[in-house]
Amino acid sequence: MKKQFKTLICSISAAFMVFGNLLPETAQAYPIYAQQAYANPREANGRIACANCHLAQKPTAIESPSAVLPDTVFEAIVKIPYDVSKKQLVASGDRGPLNVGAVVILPDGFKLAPPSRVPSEVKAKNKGVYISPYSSKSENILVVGPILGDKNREIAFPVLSPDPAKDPKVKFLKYPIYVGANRGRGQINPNGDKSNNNPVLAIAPGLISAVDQDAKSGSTTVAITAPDGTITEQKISKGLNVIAKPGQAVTKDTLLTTDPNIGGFGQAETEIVLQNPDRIIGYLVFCLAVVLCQIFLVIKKKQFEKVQAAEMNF
Amino acid sequence: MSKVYDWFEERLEIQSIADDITSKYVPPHVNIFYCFGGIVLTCFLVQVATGFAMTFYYRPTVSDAFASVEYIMTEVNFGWLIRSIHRWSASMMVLMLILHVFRVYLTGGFKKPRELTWVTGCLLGVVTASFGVTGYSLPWDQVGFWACKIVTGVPDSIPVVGPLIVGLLRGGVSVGQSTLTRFYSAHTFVLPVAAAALMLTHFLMIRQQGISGPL
Repeated sequence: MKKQFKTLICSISAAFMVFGNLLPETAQAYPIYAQQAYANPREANGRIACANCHLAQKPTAIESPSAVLPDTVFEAIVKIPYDVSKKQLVASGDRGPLNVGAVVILPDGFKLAPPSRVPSEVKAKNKGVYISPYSSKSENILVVGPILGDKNREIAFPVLSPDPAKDPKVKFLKYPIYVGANRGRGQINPNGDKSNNNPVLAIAPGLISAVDQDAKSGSTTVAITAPDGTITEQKISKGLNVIAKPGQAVTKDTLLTTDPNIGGFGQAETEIVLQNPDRIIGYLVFCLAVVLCQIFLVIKKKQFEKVQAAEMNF
Repeated sequence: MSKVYDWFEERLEIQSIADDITSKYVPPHVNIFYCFGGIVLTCFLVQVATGFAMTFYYRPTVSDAFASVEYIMTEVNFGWLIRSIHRWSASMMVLMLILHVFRVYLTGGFKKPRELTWVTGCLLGVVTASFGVTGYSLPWDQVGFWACKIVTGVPDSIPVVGPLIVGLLRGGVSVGQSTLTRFYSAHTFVLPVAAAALMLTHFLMIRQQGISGPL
């Protein structure tokens, strides 16, 4: 029984070693998994798909104009704040800087501004930031990342507003904009397994009999002796901060390491009005008419008062 | 023209009404702040006109309400203007009402013999707030729905009768179609009638007693 378990552990750790080397490459392309799995990244209940793997919650904000005219390029700025002095655990077990990524769900008809219409200062600011449509069907959903977070805690999305004169499906109305933005690695791999960016929990209750760190691989093996004498060995991969001490009594799911995750995902939403310029002009004309009416009323009243005063002097 | 006038004068004595109106002078202590009450009335009339126009297109069902409001905003000729005026004028009415209350309070207009005018004014304030609450939920969008749910749940904390009041407001245990129907009925029938009756008494009393004196 014990022997079988040991071979199992060995094979699992062997598998880890093989796949562990592959993980860093795949880890660089996680938004693509959402793009492959979800036709629409925003679920009916409002949750954005990124939250399915990036489990921690961190703030995200969006800054966009409250109203735009048709066929105009504007900037929607997504803010992903985090402490740049902190390093995250990467798949290999080393520490590295955080990456960021974001998805902006614009109203139908809004899309990424073509490069020819993006102002040069925005282009300069966005050097190295590759924003792409979520899919060929959803041009109104924009995705970026993973990109280096230190320089990109604010990402400016150049957006082109639609023109109802050209596209009758688009109306002048107030629309919602949804945004999701993430910093740092996720907690779940696309296949459903946990990533190493998670705290390790005890898999069995008992007393910790040994905590051995393997100097070569950097991984730690924790042995837990159950009250009936069974020893369960639990492997903790490199880079995690082990807090389990020999002699410590643990129950199932007791934390053996601290939580390595320092990143997280956040959602925000705002509203934008697609404004008809004729309405603005109409409003200004109306205001002018009101002001003129009032001025004429006052002038007439003053004139009338003069007449009254003159008549009283008789 | 004079024939028409004579015809009416013979039957209704409209000259006395005209004399009554023209014999009232604005006292010298009245300043621009005394306009707030009239502005509230103007806002109300705007609300009646635009609200009436919107009843042509609005459908008070949970499945159609939002779509019909969207239809008003996008397809109906000048529907966006009518609904926007209704929305802004509603806020303006509440703002002007508050300023009117301040003016009356600060100039002591509520004192004897005008206590009843003050009381009807307070009731009109309640009616106006109810207009706002019921109207806010009618588009049945996210904010409207949740506002409805929260507001109708407030009386639940009243001992004994609380749950009964909540049931009365919602037309059931939870917020649903019956709540929207009730809100629509209140917004377009009950509250306008109440407001009209209260305004009539409010204005008749002001007419009877005149504008309150100087400080």
